[in-house]
Amino acid sequence: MTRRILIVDDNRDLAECIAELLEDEGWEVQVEDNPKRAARRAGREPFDVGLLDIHMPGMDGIELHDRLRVANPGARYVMMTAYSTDERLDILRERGILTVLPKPVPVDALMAALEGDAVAD
Amino acid sequence: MALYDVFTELAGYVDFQAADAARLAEMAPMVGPAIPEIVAAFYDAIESSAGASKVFEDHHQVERLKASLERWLERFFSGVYDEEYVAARARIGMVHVGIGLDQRYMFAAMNVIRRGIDRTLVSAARQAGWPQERILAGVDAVAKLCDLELAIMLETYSLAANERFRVNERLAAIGQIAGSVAHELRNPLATIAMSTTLLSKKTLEDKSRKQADRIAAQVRYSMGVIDGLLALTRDQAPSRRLVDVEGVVRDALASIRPRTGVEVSTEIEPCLPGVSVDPVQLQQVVINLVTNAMQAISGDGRPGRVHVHAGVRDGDLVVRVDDDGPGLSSEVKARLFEPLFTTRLKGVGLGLALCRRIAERHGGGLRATNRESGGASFVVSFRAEGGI
Repeated sequence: MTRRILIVDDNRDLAECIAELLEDEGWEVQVEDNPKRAARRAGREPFDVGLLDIHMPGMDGIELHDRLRVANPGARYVMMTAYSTDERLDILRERGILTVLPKPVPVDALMAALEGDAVAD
Repeated sequence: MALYDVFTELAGYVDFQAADAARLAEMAPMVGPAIPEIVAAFYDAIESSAGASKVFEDHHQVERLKASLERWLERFFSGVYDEEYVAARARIGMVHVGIGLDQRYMFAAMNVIRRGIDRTLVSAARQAGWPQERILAGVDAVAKLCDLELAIMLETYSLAANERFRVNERLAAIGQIAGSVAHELRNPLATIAMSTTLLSKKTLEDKSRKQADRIAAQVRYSMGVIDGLLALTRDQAPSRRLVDVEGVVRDALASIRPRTGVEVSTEIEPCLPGVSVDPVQLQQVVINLVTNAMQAISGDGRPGRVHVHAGVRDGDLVVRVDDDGPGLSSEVKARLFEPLFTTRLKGVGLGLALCRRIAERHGGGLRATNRESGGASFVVSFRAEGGI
């Protein structure tokens, strides 16, 4: 079965790069660079994994995660951040998100995270 | 206000006049022979106080300080209290600031000195048959000048505190800029890294692959620079825990690229009794100080040695990094902790300023001296408890 992933990052170039990489691996990818639009689309196009940037204008990745989770409670979520010491990592842990990838995203760690392996953040 | 203005303004306030200056000069021959005695009594008083004696490194330092106090007392009775006098006094004040003597000891110390002078003076003047009135006027002149000395001394503390505040403000501003630039750069670098990965996955001819690998390597290098900058500028309260000092020092040394011709040795006092410090910050300090020492030696173009010593004194962790490089010129020494000051072509000049901030956050300090055998010595202390 094809696995579906939603990538949300206001850095569209990066999101598309990751998309290309994952398409090569056989994923079906949706890319969104606007978190608010991503939240509105949430119920219409289901996905198995949400890969979300934390720092985005308009709505941060954490709020987006909360919205997406209502529509897609069964999906797994993986976060990305350019900040090495993000004070919001604790908030993420409280929500059960243990996988936070640094930017630049290490490809091996990304793949492992998407496969559901435990990855230390 | 300039120091000399502070002095003259206060001289007016305590009514220190030319007649007082003349009286002091007139008493010089009486007090002179007793000066070593006054100094010895002064240091006996300090050495019996745990808090004040803590600042002394060793016996040699105490001997040097005694000699300097003797000169201080000789000049006290010189009768000339001009701008040069005030400047010289301020330099002595800065030495006290430098060795980390808390200013609250200044009042007590000045009092011990004053009583020492008075006792000597009164008995010598009586023997010389001075009338009571003249003796009292002499004691009065001593009291006035002691007050003025104290004022200069405290003024140097306040100048140093302002300077420190300014440096920390500047560090914070640099940190903010560096932090936001670094985060801004991480996003495009992330895209470059990812694009390069994609490119490498395609079937590339050898030449193109080489280029892709080169881009990837340079991106990794850039990320390293950014990570380093962020780590340097992070101003966090120390997160103390019991630390295996030897392990931290070992890890720190392992992360430093060795240089040919520079030998690094360590001497960690065994069984450091449960030192509680921030291990990450301690490691950062050791890396910075050892790297600096190695660069000082390499810059000199001769082989040399760096020695790291760690031990506990009065419950505080004290780490000393010695090198046998060229040592510190007085110009460099004066600007050592200034952010962005560097003597190197490479490097941003934040290391020592940040090391000092880390030590101060642990309630300790960082001190730089030249070694008598040549080279520089950096001593950093981490107070066991009570960091700010």
